[in-house]
Amino acid sequence: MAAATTDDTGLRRGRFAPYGLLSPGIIWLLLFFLVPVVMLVKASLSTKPSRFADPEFAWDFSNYTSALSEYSPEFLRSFLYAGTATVLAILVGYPLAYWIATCGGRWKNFLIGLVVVPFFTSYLIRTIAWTSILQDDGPVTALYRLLPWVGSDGRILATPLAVIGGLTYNFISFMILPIYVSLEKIDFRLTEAAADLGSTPWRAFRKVVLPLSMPGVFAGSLLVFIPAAGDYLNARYLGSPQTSMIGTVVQNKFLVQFDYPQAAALSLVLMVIITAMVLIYSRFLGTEGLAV
Amino acid sequence: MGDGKVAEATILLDAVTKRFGDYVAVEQADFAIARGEFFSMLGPSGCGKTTTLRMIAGFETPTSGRILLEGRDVSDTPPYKRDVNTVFQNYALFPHMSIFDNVAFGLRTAKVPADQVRTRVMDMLDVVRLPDMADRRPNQLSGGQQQRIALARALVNHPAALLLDEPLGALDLKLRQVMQLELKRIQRDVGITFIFVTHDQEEALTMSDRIAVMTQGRVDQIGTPTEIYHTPATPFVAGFIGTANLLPVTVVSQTGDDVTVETRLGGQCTVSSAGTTYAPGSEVTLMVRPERLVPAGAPLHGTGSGASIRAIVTSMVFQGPVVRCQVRTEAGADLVAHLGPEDDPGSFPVGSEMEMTWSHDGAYLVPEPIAADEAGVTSMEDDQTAA
Repeated sequence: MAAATTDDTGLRRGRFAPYGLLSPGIIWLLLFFLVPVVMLVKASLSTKPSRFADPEFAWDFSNYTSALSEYSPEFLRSFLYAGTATVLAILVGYPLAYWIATCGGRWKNFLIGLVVVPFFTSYLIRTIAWTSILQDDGPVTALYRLLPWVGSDGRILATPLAVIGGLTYNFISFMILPIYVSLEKIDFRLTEAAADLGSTPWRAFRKVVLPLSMPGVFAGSLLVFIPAAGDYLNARYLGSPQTSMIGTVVQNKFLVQFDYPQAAALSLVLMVIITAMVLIYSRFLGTEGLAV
Repeated sequence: MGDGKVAEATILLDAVTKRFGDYVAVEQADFAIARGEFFSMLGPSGCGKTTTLRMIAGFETPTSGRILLEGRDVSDTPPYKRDVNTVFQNYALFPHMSIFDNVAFGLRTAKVPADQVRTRVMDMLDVVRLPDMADRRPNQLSGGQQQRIALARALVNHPAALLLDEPLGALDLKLRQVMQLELKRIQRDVGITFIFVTHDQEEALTMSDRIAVMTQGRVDQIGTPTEIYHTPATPFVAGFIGTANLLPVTVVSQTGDDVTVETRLGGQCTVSSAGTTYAPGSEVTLMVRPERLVPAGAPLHGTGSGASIRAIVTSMVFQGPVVRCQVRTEAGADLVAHLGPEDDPGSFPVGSEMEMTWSHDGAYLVPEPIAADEAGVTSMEDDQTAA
């Protein structure tokens, strides 16, 4: 009888163990994700008669309509810049990750360490550092002005080029690391098999290595595109009012104008659009690629 | 090597040597593989057999010498321009493709029209007896099935030669035996030259038309399974293929086909010369296979009277069809005899003295000496048990 009781509690404990393990994560998500989102939704539907008045909940959807009508250029610019930065990060990051994974040898971990080194300096400091690197009377701009299509008054700072460059620079590590991990997992004897079956090195790469590394490219794209689309630091320090992104607007609404309802609506619209884009992207790339 | 033989050959290795730094992986490999032949390269790990195969496939370039494929020098041709296909040791199936796409890979690379690709792939899946697996992924298949798909993926391209790098190594014993017969059947059906690399002598004996036995980068002997088993060229070959009792002997005299040799203890016996001329005084090795060694008085396995040797029984192990009887000679060499029921193993208790004998044609002279401490029984099976 006593044995039966012990068994019973053991069984019960076993049944609840998974929930016990899950609970810290669930509590975390409830407190720091769900509650803020609910507050954000509530704020986005409020009105705020004056700058210093408290927002009042009023089912006011005008925040959304004005968010879309007034700030669609910023939205478009955000996605254009973030998208371009993501593509650039792939073009620069993939060959680098490939080189480290295939030719790194015993230096692999050291080289991957170098990719992470910039994180030891604050994101803000690094971005501000670029303003002096790219300043109008600096050597980089001087070189840039030598390009045939750039006039003698051409500048990098305060242009889309600087903002996109800054975004690419700041997030490229998040592209390199997942691509490296997926390349590292590939059995390169598969390229031998492809060569054996008549494939040139380029075809073997396209048909075998590239598809097998797509999960890394996919993960890297999300890790670069999502934060880049909502970023405001690069647009603020490296750009101009003409290059402001949606993050700049949200930051301005929240912290300068205290227009919480409008800022909340803008944030939620950004969230929904990014989620939709990610879903389309994952459908387009195929979930099967992620399963490998 | 005559020109006629070169024309016949699918593959010709002309004094091929491969060095990795100071390490000589393959030394002066010089042989031809005929069209439609099942040719095995057999040897322990590190003997250079896989390096030789990789040079034929194009993954390694010879340091010196030439490799001819269908009469054309391909020594410096990259793998994708060679008309050979490989079945890899780990199969190397493309994990992100279906079985159909895996098998179709080579044909599509060669831009074969889609309808032909379909028929040829499905025909080949029939040949390897897995026609229903076309839509599966490699990870949904068992090891034996993946093995067959790797075979289909290579064979579907109708290569001049199929290279197999220890393809059965990962399979369990039963499946390996089934696949050995399967491979032989498929090779007969498609009529393509197979070059098979293995360290398993039984596998090589079962399937091959000819075997090249390699050790330390050198080819010791090339011959049919029978030649290699019965007339080994070196003591290494004798011990590597099956089990062999090897005794260091000195040639005393030769009369026609009969060679008289003397053992270290002064006993003499007469052995067939098998066409070789021996100078008196030369050091050679006498080989007697365990199944030819019988207790004195028992019926001899073979013809003609041979010789006998006195020994103490050290172990007697029942192994099913035979009883493995190990004895130690007065010179201290361990010999093994396989006794059958007619030899009445029960009458030789461990520790008793026993006279072992063999027929005239039961012994063979290996024309190379062995060291005294290498005398006695050698076999890969013993090594494998010890390892």
